[in-house]
Amino acid sequence: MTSFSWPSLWRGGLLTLAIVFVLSTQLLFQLGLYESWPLEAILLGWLDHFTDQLIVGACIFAAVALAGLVPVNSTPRRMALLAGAITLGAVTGEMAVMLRLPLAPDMSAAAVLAAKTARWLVIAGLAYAFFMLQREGAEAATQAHEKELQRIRLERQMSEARLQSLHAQMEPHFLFNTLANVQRLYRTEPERGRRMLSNFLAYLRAALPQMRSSETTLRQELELARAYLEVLHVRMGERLKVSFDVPAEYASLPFPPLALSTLTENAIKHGLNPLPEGGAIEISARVENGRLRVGVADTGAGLRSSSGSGAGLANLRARLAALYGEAAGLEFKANLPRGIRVTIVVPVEARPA
Amino acid sequence: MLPFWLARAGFGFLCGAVLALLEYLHYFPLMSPPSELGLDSFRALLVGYGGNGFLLALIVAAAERRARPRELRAWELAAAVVAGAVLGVLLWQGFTHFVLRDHLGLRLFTEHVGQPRMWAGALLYQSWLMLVFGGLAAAVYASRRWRARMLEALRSAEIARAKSESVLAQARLDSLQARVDPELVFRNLAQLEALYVTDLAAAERSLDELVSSLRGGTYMTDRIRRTA
Repeated sequence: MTSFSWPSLWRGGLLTLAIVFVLSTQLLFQLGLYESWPLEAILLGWLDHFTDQLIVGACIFAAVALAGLVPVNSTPRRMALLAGAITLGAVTGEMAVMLRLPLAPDMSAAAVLAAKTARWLVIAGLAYAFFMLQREGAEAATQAHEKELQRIRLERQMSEARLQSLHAQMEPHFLFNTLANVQRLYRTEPERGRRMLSNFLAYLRAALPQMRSSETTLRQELELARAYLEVLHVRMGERLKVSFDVPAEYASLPFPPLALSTLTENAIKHGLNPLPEGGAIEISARVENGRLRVGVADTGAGLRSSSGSGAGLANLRARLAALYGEAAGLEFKANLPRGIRVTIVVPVEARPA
Repeated sequence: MLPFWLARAGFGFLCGAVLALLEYLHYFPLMSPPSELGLDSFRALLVGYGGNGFLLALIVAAAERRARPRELRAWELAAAVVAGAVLGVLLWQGFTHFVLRDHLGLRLFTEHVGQPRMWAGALLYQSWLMLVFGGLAAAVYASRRWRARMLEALRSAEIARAKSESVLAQARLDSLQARVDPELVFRNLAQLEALYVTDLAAAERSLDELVSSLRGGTYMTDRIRRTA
């Protein structure tokens, strides 16, 4: 018997009603009933019997519900309290029924009461056990479901943490390269070195907030990509041409952090860097069918030589799946006349959970 | 193997015995004089309902065996109880009437012999009793097992959650250890940029220091020290 609650009172009442109804049908199965009485009388009698059972059932239910308010902590005491409550309810109810319809004069009221109370003890005891077991089982099921959800959430965070860790390993690489370049340029062309450094600072300025948050807008992502490409522009010079095709109204749409950087870094690393003549990168965004499509196209070495970039893209794909499920994804297409176009597709409405 | 069947059948018999007692108590005050319903009648009730319960439990146990290793579904259990109640009553009444009657000398529905309608009525009434009480008992039994399964599921979900919690903490730590602290680098680079304008030689020295300390992992260890 735990504390009081309306839903469980309601369910207990429904269970009582169902059991009372089933018990009342006993009358229809009495020996020789249909030989001795017309059907109409039998149905009226059934209704009467149902009323009797309902009175007793309601008394027992009330007694058990009241007993539930008593705080008891040991099981034997709880059982004793329950048995007492059922007995009290059954005796009260059966006495009320006897007032409604007096017994035959030669029948012993005490014997009838004892027999009926014993029967009610068995039935109500079983019903109570059924009710409590169901309730406890349902509670355990709900909690298990919650724990399962928490586990899934944790696992999603885990894949995020792993990706951040991977990204963090990528970051120092870029950092070392840039600083080494600054060092080298500084000795030969101090002005270019200075420009590279200030571009790099701009990149870090854009990147710092992203490294902490889990949701950003497309604008922040574009700024980051632009800063990154400007750093590289100093290094690669005329070998790198950059163009943006992003309508201003999409800039405030939410976009997963550092996703665009992954594509941009890939396009440079595997697309343009291997080519002595360099190439062009175009970043574009469109909304189609409720999905935001952000693409990075390069005129680089193309699909074959980009096979080494598997890890970064696979991670990005896993991260998109973790954030948006089926609704998001990565698309690969050949970029004509050469190179590759990789597109991130994310739903516009849904925010990452 | 044997304990399984024995436990089920014994439980069924016990339930039948309780039912026999309840029925006996129920009919006792209706008889006038009450002494007419003697111990003989109670024995007859005991044999009748005990046997019904015994067979009902055996039939449900057979259904459980067939379904193993999975548990019976609710509707399967309900079907088994219905089949067990009706079949059990039919089989046991046939057995007591044709076999036991002559051996134990009990009064087992002898009053119905030659009255098929009465007999059918008696079988129907017994089936009703077995169905209602057997059904209640089966519902409690199935709920017990269901609750046990749910508690077990809760326990393993808790364990799995705790496990992924610790793995996550480890992953977070790994992620921190792998990271160069960007803010620290940023501050140093900003100073470097300022130096570039004022003192080229100092800027170069500072840059060399920064690069070598990055290689030496100073920034990473520092980050760990601050977060650990």
